[in-house]
Amino acid sequence: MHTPNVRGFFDPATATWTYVVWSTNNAVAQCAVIDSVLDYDIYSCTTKTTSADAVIDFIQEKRLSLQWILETHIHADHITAAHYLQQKLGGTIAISKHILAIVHTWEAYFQNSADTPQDGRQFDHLFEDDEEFTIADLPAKIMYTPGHTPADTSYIIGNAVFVGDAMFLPDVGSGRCDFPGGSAEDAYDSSRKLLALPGDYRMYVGHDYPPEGMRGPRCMATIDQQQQTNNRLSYSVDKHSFIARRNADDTGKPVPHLLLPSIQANLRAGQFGEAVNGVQFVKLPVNML
Amino acid sequence: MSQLSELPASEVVYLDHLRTLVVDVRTAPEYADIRLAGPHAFMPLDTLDPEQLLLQYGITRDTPVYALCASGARARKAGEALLAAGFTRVALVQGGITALKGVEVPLAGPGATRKEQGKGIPLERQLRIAIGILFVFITALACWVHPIFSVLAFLFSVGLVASAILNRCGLAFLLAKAPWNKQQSCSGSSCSIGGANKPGASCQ
Repeated sequence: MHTPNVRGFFDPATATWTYVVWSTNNAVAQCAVIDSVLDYDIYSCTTKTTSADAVIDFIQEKRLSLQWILETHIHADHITAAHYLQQKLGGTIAISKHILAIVHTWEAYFQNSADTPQDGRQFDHLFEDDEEFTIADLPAKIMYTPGHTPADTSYIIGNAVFVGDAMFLPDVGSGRCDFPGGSAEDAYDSSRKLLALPGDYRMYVGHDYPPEGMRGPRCMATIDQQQQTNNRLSYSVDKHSFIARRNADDTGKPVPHLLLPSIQANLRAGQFGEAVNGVQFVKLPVNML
Repeated sequence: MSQLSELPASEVVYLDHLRTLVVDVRTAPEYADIRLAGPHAFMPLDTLDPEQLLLQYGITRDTPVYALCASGARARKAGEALLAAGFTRVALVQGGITALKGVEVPLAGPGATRKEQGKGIPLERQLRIAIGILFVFITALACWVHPIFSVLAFLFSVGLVASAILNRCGLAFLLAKAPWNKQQSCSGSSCSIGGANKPGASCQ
């Protein structure tokens, strides 16, 4: 089985893991970036590329070419650097076809059809469920894992699986399911699909929220470890109790600070809206949430 | 094999967590008490597994890694183990977390905001010393002066139990007033611990 090389980059501001995944078996070393971060200050409405530039520097140091820019879902807590990475390094921006439903849902909030194509053509490729593709010589496959949002996708690359917010590390649990279209029931079903992968597969998570004073931010646990010790989704937790606990914990939870700017930009693959005299804007709907 | 290099504690603040990794190799209680506030790895020396470090923290063998312990001895062992495992850019943090307390590095945990005890003996140890000496005297009095002095030992024992239950200790109160336990005034950066006394991201 192919074991991909994986380098993780942790953004402490949003607790996000960005991954560079590549194979060294190939003469043309190509890589994928999964869930990149564009640094954004909510108060000054300014972006920085510190996090993305570290990823770019790494790709260049390793003499890799960027083949795929992958998103596990439309993030609600950070803006993707997909567009910025593509401008700098090229590559195909891809996401699940299920995001078309998300585009539609949020059009009602943002009234943004003018600069956010409803057919998803702002993404270069929309994956079908179970679609297969390759990163250089690494076999890769889509797995549809909704729950956190209705369009979450996991990427199985060799013997690694990148799950976004479908599951977190064993002592953290799983992602919230209270966003529009989110479903604890779907999240449980998705976790069972992921945990059915071979036990030695490595699961890489999209965020880590380390318990205070216990450890630093980590990115990986094996399927075996998740089956046995995930505090929300291990094999000893039945569907009913997962749903009850998830819904109870999500009730009244504050929205992420960057929810509105993030979703808005991420629906355009990380671009800000149509410019007026060269100025772009973040549009904040009043009393819509 | 690459050489283990050393990083002065004052340089830790300049490390870029996106391009390097600090690995804290102290024990869990030490780590719970005080640790780096920024992203880092925690893997105690006795369970240090270079392969797991690579996998769990998403680094490669050529990622610069800085081993951190209390004063530098365990970090040296950890660093040598990582070099032996094929890591190519390994250094230890000179003076460990003890040295980091004296420089401008954000630290977290109860130990990061606790007032420095200075170089003296902590109050709890002073207390044990004082009680120990008292019992030596009481025993001496009971043996060589009059057995009635053993009543003192009984009273002290009852007092100890009471102080433990009530969590109030008259002896500790007295000891804390002793001149050698007064906080010494400090100047310069030597007493600033982490970001605790720095202004935040306000308009200040």
